[in-house]
Amino acid sequence: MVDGTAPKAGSVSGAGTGRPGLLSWWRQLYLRSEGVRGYSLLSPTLLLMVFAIAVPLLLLFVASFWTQHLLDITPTFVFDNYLTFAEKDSYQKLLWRSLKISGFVTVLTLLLAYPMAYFIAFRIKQNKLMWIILITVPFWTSYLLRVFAWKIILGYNGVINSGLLTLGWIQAPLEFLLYNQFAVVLTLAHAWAAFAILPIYVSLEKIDRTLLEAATVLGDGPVMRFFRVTLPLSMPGVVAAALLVFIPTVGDYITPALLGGPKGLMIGNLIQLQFAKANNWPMGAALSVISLLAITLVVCAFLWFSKRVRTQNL
Amino acid sequence: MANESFISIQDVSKDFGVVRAVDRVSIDIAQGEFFSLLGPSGCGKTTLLRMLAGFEFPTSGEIFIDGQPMSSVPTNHRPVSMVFQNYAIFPHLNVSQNIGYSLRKDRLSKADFNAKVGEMLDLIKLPGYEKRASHELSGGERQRVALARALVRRPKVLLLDEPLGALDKQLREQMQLELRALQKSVGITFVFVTHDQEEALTMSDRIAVMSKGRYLQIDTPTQLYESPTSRTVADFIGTMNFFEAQVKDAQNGRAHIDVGPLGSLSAPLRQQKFAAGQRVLAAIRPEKIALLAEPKPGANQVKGQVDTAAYLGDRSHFYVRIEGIERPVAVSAQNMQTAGPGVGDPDRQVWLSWAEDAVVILNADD
Repeated sequence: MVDGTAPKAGSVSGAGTGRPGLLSWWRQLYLRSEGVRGYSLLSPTLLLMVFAIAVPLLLLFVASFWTQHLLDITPTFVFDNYLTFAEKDSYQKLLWRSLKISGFVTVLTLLLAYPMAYFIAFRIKQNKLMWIILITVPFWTSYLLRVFAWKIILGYNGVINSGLLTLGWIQAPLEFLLYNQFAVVLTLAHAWAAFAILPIYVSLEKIDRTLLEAATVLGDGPVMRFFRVTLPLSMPGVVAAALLVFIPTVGDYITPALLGGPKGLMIGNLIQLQFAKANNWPMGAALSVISLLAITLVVCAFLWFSKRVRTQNL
Repeated sequence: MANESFISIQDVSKDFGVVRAVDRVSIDIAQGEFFSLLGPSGCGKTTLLRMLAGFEFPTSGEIFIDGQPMSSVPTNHRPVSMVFQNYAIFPHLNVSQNIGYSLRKDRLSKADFNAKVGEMLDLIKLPGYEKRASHELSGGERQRVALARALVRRPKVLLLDEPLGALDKQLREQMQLELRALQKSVGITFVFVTHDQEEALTMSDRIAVMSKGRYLQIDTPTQLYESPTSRTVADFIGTMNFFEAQVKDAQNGRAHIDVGPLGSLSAPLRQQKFAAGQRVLAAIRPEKIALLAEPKPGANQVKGQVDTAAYLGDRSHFYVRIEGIERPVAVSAQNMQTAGPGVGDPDRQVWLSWAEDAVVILNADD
């Protein structure tokens, strides 16, 4: 083919290369560049992330500097909402309490999940898949239903109280079971257990068993071996599990609303209040941004600490 | 139990379900000895090693280390250490932490700890490697670190499970010599598992050749090679030519046998007893056969025809057809010794000759 005909040739040329210019240009780019291939593989998710997460988040951030009076939102750029948070002890307390409750939930979930994951990874020789499916069984029912189930178990006339009364071990129903932080922590830990078990299981499963034998032959008993080899090597799973549990539970508002009582309310309930009854969207947005920052700080501190555990530089 | 034996394996068996991995094995190993367990995969050598380490416990029998029965001693309380086939370097620790892993319970000061680690790094010729991350190490370096880690607390016994298998040939040969020298300098009893016969011959004081859960022969490398006691051992260690033969008479340390096409031979006996008329195997190593262009006066030679020749640089392998013998006879010759140009050419007529003592007589049935 003669070069001079090139401008038209791209679209009309002979059999094998007879593709429209744009398409062949794209193909060439696609085949040549690994980056392009990677992004196009990501593209559906990437689009969704940009339009359903990044853009709303940006709007939320912008809105947090607005003000609202009754139904009128004023798109200004003022720090009123943040100042309100700084002034109101009750707001700060709620955020602090949310972080604390989620912290307890994370610790409790990890403590419950680790032995389970360990058991499946090291003790189960056959049918591991069946065990993993069994772990997800609670998820076959709705989250709301599971929260209500705990209400029935922990309630004033609930399973525990009526059981203990029938046995004659208590004279009056225990009241500390429900409508407090304990109930919230317990319910959330149960609800999120599977999210912790799976990543920990995966990281335990990956550990080369000869490393454990090496630790033993070098003089470690089972306990020392666990803390010096198994635990550090499963840290990636523990970190993933902690983040998977901690981050979503800080913002949870269903469980505290149903089981927390006034003493168990969390930041999520306050944010919901701002967007609903209080009708102060900018304040709700500001509270969201603040809790986002708080979570980020906690997560960074946690990652820094876990890295030190992993490399045993404590 | 013999007094000088440091490790005593007494009538030990190990069953895995219906499979008997180790079958009534008794071995005594002396202090400071470099002892190899040699055999094909699945012969039970690794299981035996793992029983010495305490990762497995014998189904029956008893293992003594330094006079102590091991049947109720867990791995971490045994005076042994181990180098694993994949080295098992802890990936989350650096070189110094890896080597010093077992020093934790000694509660050393930081200076003492560093001194011990440094001493080991000098021993394995990797000084200054303390802070290297484990993933920065090459295969040979990992192997050395694993060795240093196992030796740092001076165990009484070091178990090695094919530690050189993953290295390339040159590095492996270098490590064989270094490992041997190291063992002599630290004086620790080494029990070495390998399926590589050359490796076992190079390094060991004694070798146990194992097959199907039992050992066939325990001997020095020279004895194993020169005087194998069974066809399996002779076949497994090096190359061997076998000829069916019949005993004519056997007495005063010599036997006269009739080897069909090779004629009548005489060979030394090695504490063996044969009856006249018994069917046996005559075995000759390829390098003990000389390839000649012309017949020379004397006995122990036979006429043949070169079938194939393989040039290996330092030596050549010839396969020589002899009338009346099914398999061609393997002959190995140093190339400086080949008998002039053209001797190894295919179809060329040659004479094979060997010394009387080169012939080993083996029982025909094993």
